[in-house]
Amino acid sequence: MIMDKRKSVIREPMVQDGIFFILFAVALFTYAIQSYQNDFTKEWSMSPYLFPLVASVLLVCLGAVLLLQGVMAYKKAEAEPKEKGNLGGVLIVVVMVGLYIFLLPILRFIPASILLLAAFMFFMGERRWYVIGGVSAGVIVVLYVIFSILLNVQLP
Amino acid sequence: MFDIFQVLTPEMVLFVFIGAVAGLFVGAIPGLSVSMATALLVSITYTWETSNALATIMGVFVVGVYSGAVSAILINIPGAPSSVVTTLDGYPLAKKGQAYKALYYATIYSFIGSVIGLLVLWVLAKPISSIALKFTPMDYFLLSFFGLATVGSLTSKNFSKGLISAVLGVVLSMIGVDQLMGTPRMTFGSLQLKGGIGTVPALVGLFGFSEVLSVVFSGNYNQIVLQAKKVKVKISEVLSHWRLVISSSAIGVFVGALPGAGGPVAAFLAYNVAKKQVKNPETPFGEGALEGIVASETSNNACIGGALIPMLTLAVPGDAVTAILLSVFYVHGLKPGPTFIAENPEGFATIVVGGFIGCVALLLLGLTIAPRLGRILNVPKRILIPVVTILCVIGAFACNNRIFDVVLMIAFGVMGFVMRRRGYQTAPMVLGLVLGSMMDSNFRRAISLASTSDSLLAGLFGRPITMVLLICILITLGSNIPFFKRIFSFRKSKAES
Repeated sequence: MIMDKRKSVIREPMVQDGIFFILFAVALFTYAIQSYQNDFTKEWSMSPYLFPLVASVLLVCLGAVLLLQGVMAYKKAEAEPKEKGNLGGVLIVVVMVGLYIFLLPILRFIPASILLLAAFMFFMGERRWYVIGGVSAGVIVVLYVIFSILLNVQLP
Repeated sequence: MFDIFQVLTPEMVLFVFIGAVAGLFVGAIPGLSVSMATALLVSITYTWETSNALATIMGVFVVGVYSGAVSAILINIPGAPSSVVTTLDGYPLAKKGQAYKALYYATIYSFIGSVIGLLVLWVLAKPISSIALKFTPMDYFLLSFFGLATVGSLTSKNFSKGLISAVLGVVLSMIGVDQLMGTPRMTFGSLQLKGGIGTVPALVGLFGFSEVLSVVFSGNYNQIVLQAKKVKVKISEVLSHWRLVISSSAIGVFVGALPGAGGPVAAFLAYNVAKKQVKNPETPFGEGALEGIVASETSNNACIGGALIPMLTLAVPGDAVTAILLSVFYVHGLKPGPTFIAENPEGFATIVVGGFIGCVALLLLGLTIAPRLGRILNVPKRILIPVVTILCVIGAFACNNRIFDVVLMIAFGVMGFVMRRRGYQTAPMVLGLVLGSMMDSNFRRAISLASTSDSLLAGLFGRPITMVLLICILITLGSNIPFFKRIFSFRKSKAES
């Protein structure tokens, strides 16, 4: 873990979250009011925008509480422990899965899934090609048989 | 008087077991659901005899609800929303190498919960349905709100963060076409969003894909997932939680009898009660407390009997599966309703006996096959995590056959990952998503009904059930406010000294 000294209160995570949720709630509130004025002419009690309005008010209150908690936590604490991790790896995985979804209609389920499995295992450190090939092909074929043939579930 | 065991035949037992095996796999695979399997069975069993069709569906229903706990314990991906609570203690136990024990407890208490629920159905169907009929839209809204307030306090160290997660889930549930007015909300012109946010892609993303991203973030790819040791579990140890069984099964049956409330609400409420009942558990709740598994599995399986009560006596389904079961009844010429039990004792008997046989199947399959599934924990993460990713994709797609749901799953996965990093639990968001539309429609119905009475407040809250629910909510919210917490603990320490 890396000790990260906060320079200003705005860097406190709960303060950032509080501000985010307050802004989100204000946006939701504005959307509910505007949508009601533009689209809905009946009374508020049956309006589909009543509950978003109520939720936005609740979210503002909770966001404010979080903000206050963040300010109090900042005043008490001298430094915040920060956990280091492989954020780049997370982004790579998201991109890989995104590419997989893009390739699905082009290559169809079995080839695209075998490619994804192989690439993912390689990324996670598996270097034995017979394991990568065998597991990728074997797992996908088994999943295809179970879902598509036995359970009659449509695959992507 | 009709002897319900007249319907018990070897053929019926066979059909229940076939359904049970199907239910075990369908319920355990995230993304596939018991309601999906039941819906498929409606068409498959169309030409079958009514008793065989009902027997198969009861087998799927009983074992399918239980088997959601298997994946919840082994890989922290609940097979269904009602198994979300089981992840809170089941997965931490599995991480400590006690997956076998967790599965054993889940099996035994799912069996006990199912049996109790079915016994109540057999004996007390009418009285319970008459109480359920007294619930007004405001009561349903408050019950859901109580469930959200409870889950917010149970699952997060910071109550505000738990509530925020739940409210965000409710907001996300509002995306799509409004149930009452048919007006699109928060769709921003997107045809895909008009279909709404499905529970399954959100569940699979928040639990499954976010877990994948968390493992990748941690960087421990060479680690074997978990060492699942087979441990000897004494039956006396398992059955020592009889007090929890009584409270959890009562909650499960009653909540199950309320149409729409269902397994997730029952499981969270039972977990909350368990935390209050068991003051000093051997392992703290949320870190592998066996009492947590007892509460959640007993209640969500007792819901089965509870959900069948309004379906059979009022023709109002208690949950998604009973809604589909209702269609099976109509397809085969049966008419559930107030006179159903008197006029069709054979149909009622088939449901009850089929359920009991399903419980036996649950016990057999849960004690023999489910622990063998624990062997997947011996697979290294660098092989298991990519396979889980593929399962997440299949699971998200299978529900509505939309690639958009897979995109949603990824989005929820990223959201779940960010939430975990910043200290927010994903379980309240799932409950908010499940309950949001029910809360919305009941809230508006309640306001509309109350607006016709002389006093709006009296119209909304002037009933005993409503007042009780409101008090429960205020106590839950109040007990989590730091100011009141300090007063309470000061008074407690003063009393102790």
